[in-house]
Amino acid sequence: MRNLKELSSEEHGIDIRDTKRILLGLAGVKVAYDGTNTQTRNIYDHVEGETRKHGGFFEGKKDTDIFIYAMCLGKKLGDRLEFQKDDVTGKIDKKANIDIEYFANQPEYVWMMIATALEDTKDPQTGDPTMDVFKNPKIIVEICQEYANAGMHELIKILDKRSGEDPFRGFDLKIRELLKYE
Amino acid sequence: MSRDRLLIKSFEIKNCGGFSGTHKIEFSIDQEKNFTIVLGNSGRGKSTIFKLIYWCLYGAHYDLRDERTGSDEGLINLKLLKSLQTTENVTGTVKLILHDQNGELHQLERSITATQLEESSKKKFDSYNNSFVNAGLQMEVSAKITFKDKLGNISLEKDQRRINTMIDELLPQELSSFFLFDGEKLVNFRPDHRDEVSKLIQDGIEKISGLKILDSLILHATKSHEGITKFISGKQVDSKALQTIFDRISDDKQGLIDEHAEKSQQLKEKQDELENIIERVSSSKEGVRIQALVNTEESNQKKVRKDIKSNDQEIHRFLFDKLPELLMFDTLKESEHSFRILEDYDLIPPSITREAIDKIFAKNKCVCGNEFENNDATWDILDKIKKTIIDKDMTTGITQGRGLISQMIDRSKSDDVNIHYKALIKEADRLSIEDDALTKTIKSYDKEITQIGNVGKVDYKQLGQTRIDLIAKTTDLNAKVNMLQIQIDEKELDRIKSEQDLNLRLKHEGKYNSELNKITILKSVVKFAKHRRNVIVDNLVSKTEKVTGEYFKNSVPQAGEFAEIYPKGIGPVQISSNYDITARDGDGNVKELSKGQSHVLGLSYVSGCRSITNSDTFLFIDSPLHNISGDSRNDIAKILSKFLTNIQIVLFVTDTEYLSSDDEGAESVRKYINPENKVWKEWEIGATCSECDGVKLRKTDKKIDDVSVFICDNCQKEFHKDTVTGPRIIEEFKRVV
Repeated sequence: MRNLKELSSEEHGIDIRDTKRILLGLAGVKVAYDGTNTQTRNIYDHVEGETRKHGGFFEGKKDTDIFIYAMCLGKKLGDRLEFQKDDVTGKIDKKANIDIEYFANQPEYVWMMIATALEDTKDPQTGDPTMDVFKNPKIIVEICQEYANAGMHELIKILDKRSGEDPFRGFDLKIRELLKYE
Repeated sequence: MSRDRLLIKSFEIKNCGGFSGTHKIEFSIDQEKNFTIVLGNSGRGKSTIFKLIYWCLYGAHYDLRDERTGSDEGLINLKLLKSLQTTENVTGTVKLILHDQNGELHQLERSITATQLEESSKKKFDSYNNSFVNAGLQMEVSAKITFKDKLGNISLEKDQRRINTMIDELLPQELSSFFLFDGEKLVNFRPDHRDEVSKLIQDGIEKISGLKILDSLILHATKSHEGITKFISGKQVDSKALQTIFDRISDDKQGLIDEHAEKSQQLKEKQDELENIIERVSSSKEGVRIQALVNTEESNQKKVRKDIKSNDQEIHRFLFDKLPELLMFDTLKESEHSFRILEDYDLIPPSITREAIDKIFAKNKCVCGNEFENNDATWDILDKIKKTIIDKDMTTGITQGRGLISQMIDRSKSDDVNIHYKALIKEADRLSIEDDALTKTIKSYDKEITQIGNVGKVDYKQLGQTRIDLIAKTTDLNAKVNMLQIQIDEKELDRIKSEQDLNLRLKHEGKYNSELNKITILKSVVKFAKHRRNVIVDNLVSKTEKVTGEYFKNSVPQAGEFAEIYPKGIGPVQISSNYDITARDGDGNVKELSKGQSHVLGLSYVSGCRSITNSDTFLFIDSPLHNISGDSRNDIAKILSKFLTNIQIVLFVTDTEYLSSDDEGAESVRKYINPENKVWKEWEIGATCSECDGVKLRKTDKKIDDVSVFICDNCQKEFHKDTVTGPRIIEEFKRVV
């Protein structure tokens, strides 16, 4: 791997105009979940239902919101879950879920994803950032959906903590944990 | 029904085989005089012409050779090829004019050009020329064909692939042996060549008749149903289980709706009762006072509960917005650092970031020189600058992205979030306490009502107690109705999901059943096509057998030894289900055939199998009279002249085979074919003296090893078979009719 100094002398930087241009590099890509992993598939089905659940935490929200929640939880846990190969066919079953274009109106989400991928593509020897995510934006999605794959299991645990009186209990507990709130 | 005719009007060659220069043969297109004879002694080039016709039609070699079987003799005249100097070239050309019953159809010309690129002492095998050639030669093949377009205009096509397709549609290459017939194959009709002849007969019946199309249908239908079977194996789908789940969920939902309706009715009744009680309470002055207090507190409680709901929504929004940013805080911070490094190395454009502004703050001194601490106005200005830079996009692209990351970090600083969160929780606690207090107050008023005592006929003790009970009941019922509504909503979501699953399964089930139907149909098609094929083959075999038998019985020597033609007899020729052809005697037993009889059987078949087509394509036969006795030649001549009327027939024969009679009483073949009314033209391929340019060799009565000797009338040199190497010529045979 070439170090940053070498890169700097060879390339005069990459002109990244805007979020949409990065999204153009992802044209046609869909954020997918692991169809081979039955548990993940069921969770996605279940969590998707949350957007229609009356009084639920994700009521009226979008699939992109759920994906980002799962990704953030996975990243916080430091847990990336690779797509599994089917025992019989030996193939990965990527269940296409969200068109990446849906993120175009949520630039914060895009930059959360870029930041996540930027940290995961650092040079393992020097710890320096690389230009990989800008050269090949598709790896942003690959990295983030693996975090979401892992984070989705945590999200379902949070959702399951709700009670009739307190539908957001799990999220409340999570924020208290993050804020070290007594 | 009139039958289509397909004829070759003329053949022209230039510099091919043993022929240098241009030579032309015209063939009969006359329906009466349908014979053309090409005469030539052994080795003169009859078979070469036969093979050049094949090459011109298909661009392929009749006798394809390779490095193991090849010789120096190829398409282009060898003498011309060998005489080439560097950069010189020679072209061999064959041209055919094809006619149908309406006149000229195509002019087809195929050429091969050899260019001597360099001197070489080595040889290589060249597949275009079908021979060994000098390694310094380069071969190039071209072709052209004229054809009539839709408007009747003559057009020219030079694309070899398209030319080959056009010719193959007209004269299928795989059937070529039935119009360019190698007489040597007649040998196969002898009893010791059964396998070869069976193949020939099978080809004749199955290919000429068009059964290939049926075979293709059977093959493709079989492949298709096997493919579908493989595709759907293990994918059997049944919607029953999902239908049961869907029905159960629908029933559950209906049960909840019924219960909701029942409880709602009960609630309404209790509320009506309560209204009545409230009215009765208001029948005394004290009751009016207390009820007014209750109304006030209930109104207050309504407002508090609205605030609780509003605060809950605020908490929801707060949790929804803050959680992802808090979870990502470390990552976002780290990325800020990473972007800065990339910027330092000039890999991304420079940006003004939150960190940059914070650096200015940290110095406590503005660039204008003012101290921040002592000048609130400076702080305000800097704060505005920061907000402008970060909150409003002064730049785009990566700067915008870094700005967004900065905003998220700013928003998720734990102290600020903590303060906000605590405020929301505190408010929630306060409202909850307030709500509890109001509930308690309202309850105390309810109790107060019971203490009014009796006013007139109204027993306030009982009235108050009833009111307390009713309030408890309506509260309970209200909670139940609300809970039921939530359950109904949830059940509806389950029902929608279950319906989607069911519809998907039904769709798959429909597709699965549709695929099953396809398999059934395709299997039926295969079964029907195979049955029809057997019926057609039986009919074709029967028809071929009948016509072959007629030709054979009418021509074969010692015809009386063979069975009579059906319906009088059992038929003189039988073709079995495995295409074995045999001649039968009067008792139906297999009759062994002499060499001559076998040839007659073969030619009878070649003639007979044409009866199963609706087209009279030309029949060129190379050496049909070779290696058989005079009597048998006579019999074959009879068949050809008697049965194959209206068909263009060209025979490539030696003058001995064609012109000679023998001592045992056999007449010349020429006599049987009858030049007067059957033969249109006879052509002779001759040889010239290799010493005297263009002087034709004359045949003498002298023979060496039973082969005629030739003489040049100019130089008087004698030539025998192996020494005749001069250029060949083609001219019309000077016949005496």
